[in-house]
Amino acid sequence: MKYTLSINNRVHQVEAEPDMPVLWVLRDLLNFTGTKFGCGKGLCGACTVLLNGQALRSCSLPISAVGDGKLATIEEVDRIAEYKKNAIAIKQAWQDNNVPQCGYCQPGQIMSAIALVSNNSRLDKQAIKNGMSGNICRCGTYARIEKAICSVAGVNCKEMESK
Amino acid sequence: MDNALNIQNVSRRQFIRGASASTAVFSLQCTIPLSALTVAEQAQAQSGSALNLFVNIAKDNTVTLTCHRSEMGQGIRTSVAQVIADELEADWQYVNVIQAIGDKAYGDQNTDGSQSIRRFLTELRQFGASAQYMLKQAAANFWQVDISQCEAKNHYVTNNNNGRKLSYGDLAELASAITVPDANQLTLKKPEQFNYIGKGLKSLDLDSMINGTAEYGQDVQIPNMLYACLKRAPVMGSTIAKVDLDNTKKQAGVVDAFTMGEHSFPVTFNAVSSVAVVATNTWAAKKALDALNIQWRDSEYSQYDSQADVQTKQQMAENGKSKRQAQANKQGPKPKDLTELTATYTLPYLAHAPMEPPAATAMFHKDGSCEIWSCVQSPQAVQRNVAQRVGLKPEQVKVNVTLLGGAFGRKAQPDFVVEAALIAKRMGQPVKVVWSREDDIQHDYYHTNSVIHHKAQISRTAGLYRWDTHVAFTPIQSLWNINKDIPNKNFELRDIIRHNFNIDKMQTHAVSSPAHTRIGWLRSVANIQNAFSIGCFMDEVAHALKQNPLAHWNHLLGNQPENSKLKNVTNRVCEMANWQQRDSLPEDEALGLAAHHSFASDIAVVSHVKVTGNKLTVKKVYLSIDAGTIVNIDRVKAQMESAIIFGLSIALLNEISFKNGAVEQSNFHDFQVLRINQSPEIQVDVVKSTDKPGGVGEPGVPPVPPSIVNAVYAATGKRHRSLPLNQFYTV
Ligand code: FES
Ligand code: FES
Repeated sequence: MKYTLSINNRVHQVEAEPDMPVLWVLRDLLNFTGTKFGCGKGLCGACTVLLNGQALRSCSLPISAVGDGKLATIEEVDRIAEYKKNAIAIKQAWQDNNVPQCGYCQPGQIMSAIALVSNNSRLDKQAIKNGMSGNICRCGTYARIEKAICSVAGVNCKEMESK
Repeated sequence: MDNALNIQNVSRRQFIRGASASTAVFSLQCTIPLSALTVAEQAQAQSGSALNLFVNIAKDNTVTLTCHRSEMGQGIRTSVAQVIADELEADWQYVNVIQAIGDKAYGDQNTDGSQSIRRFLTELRQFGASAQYMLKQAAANFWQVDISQCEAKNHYVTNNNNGRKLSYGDLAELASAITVPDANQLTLKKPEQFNYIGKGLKSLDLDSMINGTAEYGQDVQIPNMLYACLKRAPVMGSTIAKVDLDNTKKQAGVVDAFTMGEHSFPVTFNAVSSVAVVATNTWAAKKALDALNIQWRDSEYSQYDSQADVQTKQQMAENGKSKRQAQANKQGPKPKDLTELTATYTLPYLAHAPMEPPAATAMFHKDGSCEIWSCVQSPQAVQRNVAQRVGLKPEQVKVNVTLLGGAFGRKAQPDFVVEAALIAKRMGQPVKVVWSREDDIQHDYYHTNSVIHHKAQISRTAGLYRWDTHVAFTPIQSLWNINKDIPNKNFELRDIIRHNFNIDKMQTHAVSSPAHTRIGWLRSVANIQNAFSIGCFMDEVAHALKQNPLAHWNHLLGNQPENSKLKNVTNRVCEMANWQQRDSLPEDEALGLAAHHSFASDIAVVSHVKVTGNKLTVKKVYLSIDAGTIVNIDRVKAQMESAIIFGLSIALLNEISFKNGAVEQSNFHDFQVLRINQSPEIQVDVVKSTDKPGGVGEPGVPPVPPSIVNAVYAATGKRHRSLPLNQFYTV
């Protein structure tokens, strides 16, 4: 089947089986390898992309379900108008906190974090933890991820900690 | 000093061969760049002047340093660069790092055992200092003054007679013609002169990791490349009885399907018996493979049941069906009021589950040589193993090391690279072998399951008088020799034979524990079970003696000089955690303490838990480490944060079990690892020191699980001796 996808505001045409997950379309057919393969079952979040503003696990999203939806990936999420502000802030917070270790889970973490702060005007520490619980980091960068998101969401981590 | 020799021997000639000759071969084959990262790095290195194996300087001042150790999240690329750049007196803004290919010229590249800094710190400093010397000598020649008149600082050499300056970029070409100095001509800096060593510099890979361009083994793309997925024998040593591949070959995207790797166990690092499907993309290969119905022959391991195994091991350990491995006797009067205390600790098999499942890309060049791109801890082991299986010499296998999306010991085994090489050879085309998470969980080199039985004679008046230990776990040596069934005394048992403890009599025994699967190295290796059993038993003895566990640790560590660091971090962490005030915590909360020396570092941990009904929450973990000289303070802290989360996964969640010879778990739903909503607050303390550096990547893990179990005991009065704790609690 031929599909026309909108990825990072650009049109891409691909030939793929209808059940092919967007993850493999991105990685193998279009060379967007920033979106990572971690489990293939929606369990780890490494493959997270944004579809019309929602964070989705691309390993569990068949290409036939995308329709004319707008996909955003880690490579260019900070250049897309609707995400720009939060994406730049999140990426900067990741820099400031020197978050990545091996880095493999981080594109997925960052995409989830962008969706979390974009879609929730009021976050607290628990909401951040819950919102990020679908993204595994085997290197254990959780404390820094939490700190980075807190700084963007204006949550005072320290104050929450003492309670 | 043989280091001077080293620098000579591995100088420009080899560096340039490594960078350019192979690029030429590779450009014959392909019209567009292959692995973008590698090519860009090689081009960059080629454009400058190589002063030695590790240092290359370009006219525009760019300094390109080579990292010969694999980057898997520990930050080694940045740390290696910090060390060389410091002695080189380079300006950090000009520093880049490239990844070395596998080459004996670099010496040992096997990134394991938390060794990169503690083994190579001095050598790397000498490489930096040597290049700095050559730049100074070049300037001295240019100005026609003695080298003693020249000073190198922050990317410039200054002529002290007249204040004139030349930049490193200006001098690079001249310097590359200077004779490499002997090590005794070099003056290394004093710690107080360090510019970069000890600082928490940002990772050099930070940008690429955040914008998605960092390249891992799974990401390698090569023109004309095919993708392969494999279904491997579920039981060790089993082979294929029947499979029909005709229909598979007709599936969309599928190029070929075949069986491979008929080897009997132990397979070391060879490909196990499997069906391979090769396709034009990963999904097509995987889908066709999943639809297959494969009948496997039974093997002698088809009956293996890990639960029954643990019961047998427990009986043998408790009944002394073991051989003595070590003993220590000190002279002291035997106390009269001795009583006996025993406890048996069990841990399940553990999987590494790095976030990036293994992956390897291989291609054969027209001259018959093989080129690999993969996320490997030991590129030279890849050269040897691939060469052997495809009939080449190791030098004919070029190994490009990508970033590793975590490894924890898994990617020290090159089995997945061997698969890629075999398939690429057969296909006559580049092939990437992609492991799925299921492949990763079910075909790991597992951390062995273990049973450790401790028996103590204790006295109210004299404390712990005698300590006997019986261990039952499978040695890693079983990978090469299936008859090896007792852990190695100098490796796996080393830290359980605690002769430096203040105890009169100690004995260590081992039960025969033959392998039933591939056993491998997992972050901190046997320290996991050793530290768990020691850390818990110390606590049990303290409580039996009605002692404060901290006082008990202090007494057992005594005044022996070799225990002074461990004692220090134990007391520091207790101070941080407010240990002496622990009775003032709410009733369902408590602290637990454990400490452990491994990989030449000393670490103590206090965990703060809350147990409400059967809900267990880890609120906060405190850790204090003495790792001697620190290269990057921020990465040391990051490794401690990482080790705490890794240790908590072991304490609370991780379990691999076998039934009918096969692994029962398959993905993150049943092999669980810690998530952010389960992760505690963390506080890390790093002792300032100018001592020899210790390891950092691994030693944080071992004290974490026992500290948790001890805290749960303090909170509930329940003593758990087997992990993971999610068999008793919701976590
Ligand atoms: S790869 Fe999609 S959730 Fe893990
Ligand atoms: S940084 Fe390695 S898995 Fe998250």
